[in-house]
Formats: sequence, structure tokens, C-alpha cells
Amino acid sequence: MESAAARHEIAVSMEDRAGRIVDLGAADFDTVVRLYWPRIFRFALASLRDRDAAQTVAQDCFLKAYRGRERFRGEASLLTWLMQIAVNLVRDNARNRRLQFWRRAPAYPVDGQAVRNWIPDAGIDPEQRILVQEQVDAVWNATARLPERQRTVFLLRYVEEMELLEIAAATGLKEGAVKIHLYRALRSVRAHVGRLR
Amino acid sequence: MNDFRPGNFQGAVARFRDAIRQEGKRREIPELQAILSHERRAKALRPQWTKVAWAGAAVVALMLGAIPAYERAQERQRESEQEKADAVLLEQVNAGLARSVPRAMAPLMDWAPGN
Repeated sequence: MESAAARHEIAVSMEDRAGRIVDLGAADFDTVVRLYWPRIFRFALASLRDRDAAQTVAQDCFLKAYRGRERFRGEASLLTWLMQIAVNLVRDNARNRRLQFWRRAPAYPVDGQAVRNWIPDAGIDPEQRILVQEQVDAVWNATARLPERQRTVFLLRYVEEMELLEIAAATGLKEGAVKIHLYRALRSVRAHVGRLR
Repeated sequence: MNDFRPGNFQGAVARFRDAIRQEGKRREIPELQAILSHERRAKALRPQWTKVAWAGAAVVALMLGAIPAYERAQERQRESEQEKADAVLLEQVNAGLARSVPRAMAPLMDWAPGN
């Protein structure tokens, strides 16, 4: 199991290499998949709330990236580039699901109850755990109600901890638009979570 | 971070992040080859939509071409029947015009002197 520091170092050198030599071979790309799969998958999962759809999006994302690796010039970071592909795939997937009215029900839906089980066991007592579960559940449900763009921006900022400019590059929005979407998303989520008091 | 009060919004978002990240870590990461082979399998299973689309387009084109041809044939048949009917009528008219007396008076003419 690699440490976080080691993973970061690999990621940095990977991005550095990718930026310089551009030509990412299959062996290098395997490392890219190992490094970024969890991030792409969890972003898709939190966006689509369907394990099967998230798995498909993550696979398609790396497949597209692999096929179009010659186009990666290192202008943005590798993560931003992958996230840009993932954002488009998530949008397409959501749009297709809206159009395919007979397939509206997700194959493997994730609800607030399932999310409660994702909370890491960080040595908190049972009483605190219940409070944490309620909070996580509330944020999960609040993000479900957000419009697509607001949810994307919220997840990229607060789950992936990306910078505003990186979010702008990944979503194709201007920095100002990212700020506005983020402000609105925060206001909605805060209002929803505030009802827990 | 360890503030579990219900009203702590930043704490709630942080714990939401931790939960999502935890789930992301739990999932098995596939090898690139597995992703590529999955695509090949999906391609093989996918119906040949392009072929179906081309076949459909061909059928539509054939139908679009066949309808005017059918209409032209029908028109020609109607014209030919009309021509035949006109010819028969013309013969009848000519026969009528060639009579010296109307058909109804023909029996009386048989009795007339000189016949």
C-alpha cells in the first residue's frame, strides 16, 4: 500500500513527464489509471448516484483519455484533463438518462442510507457517529437537489478540493461563473444542512 | 474537524468529503488492459446500428423511388383506358351521324313507297 506522500510524488512526476514528453505509453497509462481511478470514480458516483453508471463513466473516461493521449499537451494538469473528460461523460450520462424515460431508475442506486456506511471508522463514539451520519446524509441529499452544474462545481471544490481555475478548466466555465455556481450551491446545501439544528 | 455539533456546516461538508473518499478507495481499480478488453467486448455485443441505419435508409429510398413510378404507371393505364373509351364513343357517334333517318323512325321507313 503506497503512502499518500508516495502517491503524490508519483502523481507529480507522472504529470511532469506527461507535460514534457506527451507520449504516454500503455505502461505509463496504467499508473495514471491506478492514481486517478478513485477520484474519477467517486466524482461520478457522487454526481450520478448509481454505482453501475459511475463505473461505466470512469471506464469511459480512462478509455477516452488513453485513446486521446496524444492530445494531452500538459497545459492543464493530468487530473484537470481527466476531470474535464469525466464532467462531460457525467453530463452525457445524465442527459441520456433523462431522454431514456424507460431507464430512469438507476441500476445500482445509492441513497443516503448507503452513504452512512461510507463514513470512515475514525474512533468516534456511537453517539457522535449518529450525528456524523445525519450530517453526511443531509449533505448527500442536499447535493442531490442541486442543479447539475452547481453539483459538479460543489463536488469538485469540496470533495476533490480543486482550485477555482482548475474547476473552470474542467467544466469549461469562466472563473466568475464557477464562483456564482459555487455560491448558489453552498447557499442551498447550507440551508438544507441547517435544518438539522 | 472533531466538532460534531449539528450546526457545524464546514464539519458536515468535511465528513461528507471523507465518506465519499472512503467509498472511492474501497472500489477495486481495474488494469488498463481490463478497460480496453471491456470496450472490445462491449463493441462486439453492441448491435450494428450503422448497418441497421443503412438498411433502413435503403428501404426508405426504395419506397420514395417506387411511389412516383407506381403513380406514373397508374396514370398511363388510366390514359390508355380513356383513349379506348373515347375511340368506342367516337365510333358510336360516327355510326349515329351516318344514319339517313333516326333509329326510331327506321321501321316506318320500311313501309314507305319505294322501299
